[in-house]
Amino acid sequence: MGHDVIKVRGAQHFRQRLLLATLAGTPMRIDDIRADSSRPGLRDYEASFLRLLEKLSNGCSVEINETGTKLRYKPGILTGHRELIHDCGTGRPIGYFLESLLILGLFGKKPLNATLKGITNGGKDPSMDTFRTTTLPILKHFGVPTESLELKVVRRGAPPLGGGEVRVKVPMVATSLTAVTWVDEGMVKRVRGVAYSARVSPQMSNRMVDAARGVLNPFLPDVYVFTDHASGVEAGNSPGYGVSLVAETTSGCLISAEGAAVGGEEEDGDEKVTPLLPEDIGSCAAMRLLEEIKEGGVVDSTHQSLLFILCALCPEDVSKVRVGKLSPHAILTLRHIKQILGVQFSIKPDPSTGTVILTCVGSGYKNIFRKTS
Amino acid sequence: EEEGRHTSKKSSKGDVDMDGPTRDELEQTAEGQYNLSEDEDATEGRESIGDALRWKEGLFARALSSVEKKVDLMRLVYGQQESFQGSSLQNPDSDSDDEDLFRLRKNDRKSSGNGVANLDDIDAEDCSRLEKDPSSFHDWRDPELIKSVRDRFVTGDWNKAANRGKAGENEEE
Repeated sequence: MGHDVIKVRGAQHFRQRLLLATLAGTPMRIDDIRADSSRPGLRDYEASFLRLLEKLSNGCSVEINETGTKLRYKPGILTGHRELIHDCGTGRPIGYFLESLLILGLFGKKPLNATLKGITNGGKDPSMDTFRTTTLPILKHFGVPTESLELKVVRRGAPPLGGGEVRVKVPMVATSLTAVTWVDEGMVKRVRGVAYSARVSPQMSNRMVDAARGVLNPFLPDVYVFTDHASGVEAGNSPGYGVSLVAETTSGCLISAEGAAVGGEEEDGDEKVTPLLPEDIGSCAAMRLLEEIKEGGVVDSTHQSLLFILCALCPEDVSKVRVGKLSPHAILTLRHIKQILGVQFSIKPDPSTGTVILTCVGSGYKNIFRKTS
Repeated sequence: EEEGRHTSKKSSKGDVDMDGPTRDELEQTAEGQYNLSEDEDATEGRESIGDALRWKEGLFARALSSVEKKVDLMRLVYGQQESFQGSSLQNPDSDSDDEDLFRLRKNDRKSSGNGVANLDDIDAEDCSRLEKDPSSFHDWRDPELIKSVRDRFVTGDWNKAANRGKAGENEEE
C-alpha cells in the first residue's frame, strides 16, 4: 500500500490523522504543530499517543524535530498486543487514547489486550463508563463480536492526578467489517447511567442521580442510574465525581451524555475552576442528554466521528447512517477520510426531522495484518 | 444560539430563495420574541398575548429551519477547500517568506466550542466531544420544547415517531 506522503498542518485531529495513516499504510508529515503558539510543538499526551502507536505496531518510525513542531510518521505493521500496558499520563483522559486504540485494535494481527493507566473519568474526553455503555455497542452494528469486547474499570482516576486503571479487550476483525444501514433512531425507551464518586462522600452520587432524574422523569419514568462509590486504592489519586447517562431507544441506538466535576487546572488553562455542585452536574448531564435526543440520529454527537470511520472501513458496499447535526470534529473526520482513505460520503439533510443522512461505499478495507493461518 | 454550523457558511446564502426578511432580520426578530415570551412567563398573567407570541415563535423557527434546509452539506463538508487549511491541498510553504522572519505570535486561541471557528483553527483541540456551554442549552422547562421532544420518547406519540423514520426512507430515493 505504498502511497505518497500525506502532508498536513497543525495539531488538529492529531489522533485521527495518524490513525487513518496507519490503517492506510501511508506515511504522513505534519508541519506547523502549534507553530504560532506561545507553547509550540507537541504536547505530552500527543507524544504519549505516538508511543502507544509504536507499541502497537512493528517497524513504524516517528521523527520529530527539535521544537516538536514537525513530525514525520511512517506506519508499520499493526501487531495488536496480548499484554499492552500504557501509562496515558494526566494530560488527557484515557478516553483520548482509547478512541483510536479501539479502531486500531480491530485491525491487528492478534486480539488486543491492554491495560491503560491515567484519568478514567472527567476531562474533555468520553469517560470509561460512556465507553463501556455506548461506544463498544456501536461496534456490534459493524459485525464485531461484542462478547469478546470488554472494558473494565479497575481503578477510578479523576483529574488532575488520575491514578485510574482500565483493562480493555478488543477482538480483531476476521476479514472485514460489515456495512450497515442504520437510519432508524427509534424512540427512547429508557435511560440508564452510572454516577461515580471517588475520594468524596458517597452521597455525591445520589445527589447527581436525583438531579438527573428530576430533569428526565417528566419525559420518561424508566430512569435508573447506578451509583458506584470507589474508596481506598480503587479511588485513584484525586477526588472526583461525575455521571454518565445513556438513552436506549426501541431500535437499539444508544445516546450518551455526561458530566463530571472539574478538578485542578486545565491543560492549557491558567484559571482555576471551582468544582461544580453535584446537583448541577446531574441536571447538566441530563439536559445534555435531552439536547442530544433532540438532535436525533443513531449516535450522539461524540460518536459521529467513530461511526464515519467505521463506515469508511467497511467492504465495498453501501453504508447508510443517520446522525443529528454534524459536529465540527465529524466534519473534519469526513475530510480526512476522503483525503486519506479516499472515501467520500454523500450527505443529505432530512428536512422533516432535522437530521442528516450519510451514505458511502466502503473502502474495501481488510484486516491485512491478520495471520492467515 | 440556534445558529447552526450548517447555515453559517456564506456559500449557502446563494441557495436561499426566500423573498421575505433576510436571515439576520429573522434572527433578530426571533430573539426579540424570545425575550418577550420570557417576560410573559414571569408575569404569567397575559395568556392570550403569550399564546400569540408562541405561535409566532413557531413561525420564525419554521422559517429559520426552511433556510437551514437549503444549505448544501456536501459543500460545507468537502467544498470549501481554501478554508480547509489543514489539508495538503494548500501549499504549506506559501507563507514562509523570508520577510516575515519575525511574526507576531498569536495567543493560544481558546477553542470556541461551537462551530466553524474551530474548523479554521489548524491547532484546534482534538476532542470528539462537542463541549456545549450549559448556558447555550435550550430551556428545558419550556413546555413547547418539552412537547417537541416528547415524541422522541416511548411515552410520546408512536405514530409521529414512525413517520419520522419513514420520512427518512422516502427522502433518500
